[in-house]
Amino acid sequence: MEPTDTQLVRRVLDGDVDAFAPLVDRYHDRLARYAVRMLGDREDAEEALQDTFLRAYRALDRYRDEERFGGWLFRILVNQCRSVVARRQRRAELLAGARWDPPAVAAAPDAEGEGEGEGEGELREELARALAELPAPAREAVLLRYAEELTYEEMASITGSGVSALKMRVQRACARLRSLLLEVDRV
Amino acid sequence: MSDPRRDFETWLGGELRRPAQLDPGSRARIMQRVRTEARTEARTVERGRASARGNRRGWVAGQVGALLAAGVAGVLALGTIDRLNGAGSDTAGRPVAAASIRDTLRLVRFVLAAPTASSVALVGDFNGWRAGATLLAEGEPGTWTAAVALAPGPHRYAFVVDDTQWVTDPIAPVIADSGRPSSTLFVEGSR
Repeated sequence: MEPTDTQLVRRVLDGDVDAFAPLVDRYHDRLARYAVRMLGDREDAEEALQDTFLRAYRALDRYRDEERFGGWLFRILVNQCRSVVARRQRRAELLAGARWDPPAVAAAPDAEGEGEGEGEGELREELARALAELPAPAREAVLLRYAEELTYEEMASITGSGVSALKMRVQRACARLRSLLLEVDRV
Repeated sequence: MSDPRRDFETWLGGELRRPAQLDPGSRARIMQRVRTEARTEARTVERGRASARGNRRGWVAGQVGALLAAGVAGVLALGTIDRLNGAGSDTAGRPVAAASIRDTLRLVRFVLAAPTASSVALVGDFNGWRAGATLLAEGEPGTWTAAVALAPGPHRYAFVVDDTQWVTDPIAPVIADSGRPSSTLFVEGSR
């Protein structure tokens, strides 16, 4: 039988660093999906992911059994991505004093889809671009809601925002995404 | 009848849940960093005696204790730096990493919860009050820590947040005899 997350955490805390590898395996893809979509850049996403696991490792003895390990890890990742976004903005402000242009998310839209139609691929790229147009908090809320399928209560505990604010943010972000994609359609 | 908004959300969810793969070596690189961390970290210190400021914090297992639950900032004695022959026990039979650097220093971990800080430095009589001498590293977001080897005896210290803000430890005694106020701790051990 596969060891549970809590059993693996105990083993790591007892000095078996290799027991951390199955935890990385279990959560890597889910965290990668969020980081790539949130940051729109695979290199930044990988760095955020590495930092997340490293921070989790360092803070492992503060993880409490009653909390889901995945949720705990996700909270660290969300903060990590926020730091990357804030750092980019600070850097852009320093360099140009101008609005920060998000990186070309289209360069990292998805896992290379097998057998997808041409139209589908284009639509995906448009979606990636539209996501990058959203302000970071709105993008974060949309991803937590639709990609991670979290409840608003779970989102509130991760983001620190209130449930009604999050609902409004998601609703507005969806409307914005729709209108951006429709604009593209009309062009 | 179909609802365009709901249809869009369903489509959006399906698209966003598609995997977004990173480079195939990503997992291995993560574990490489974790293993490097495990090697370089002072993980030989298995248990420490909370000697700074008496026994207020009691015993802690592992690297970090329940310090944050206690307040905003604090300092925690992790115990002395272990040597091969270092493990022993105190009078209550609890394990203590008894050996230390030349048997004189104890490793003390300073912790500050500062969620909005960009940098935190530790200043004290042990580093000449120089703000750049001991920088705290951000472990879990918003939690800054540094482990410092201190000689037994009294010490005075403070934190400098974002290079500008002088912060004393709110749960340690503060002395404000001259100049800026500073916190105090007493490191146990034989001199």
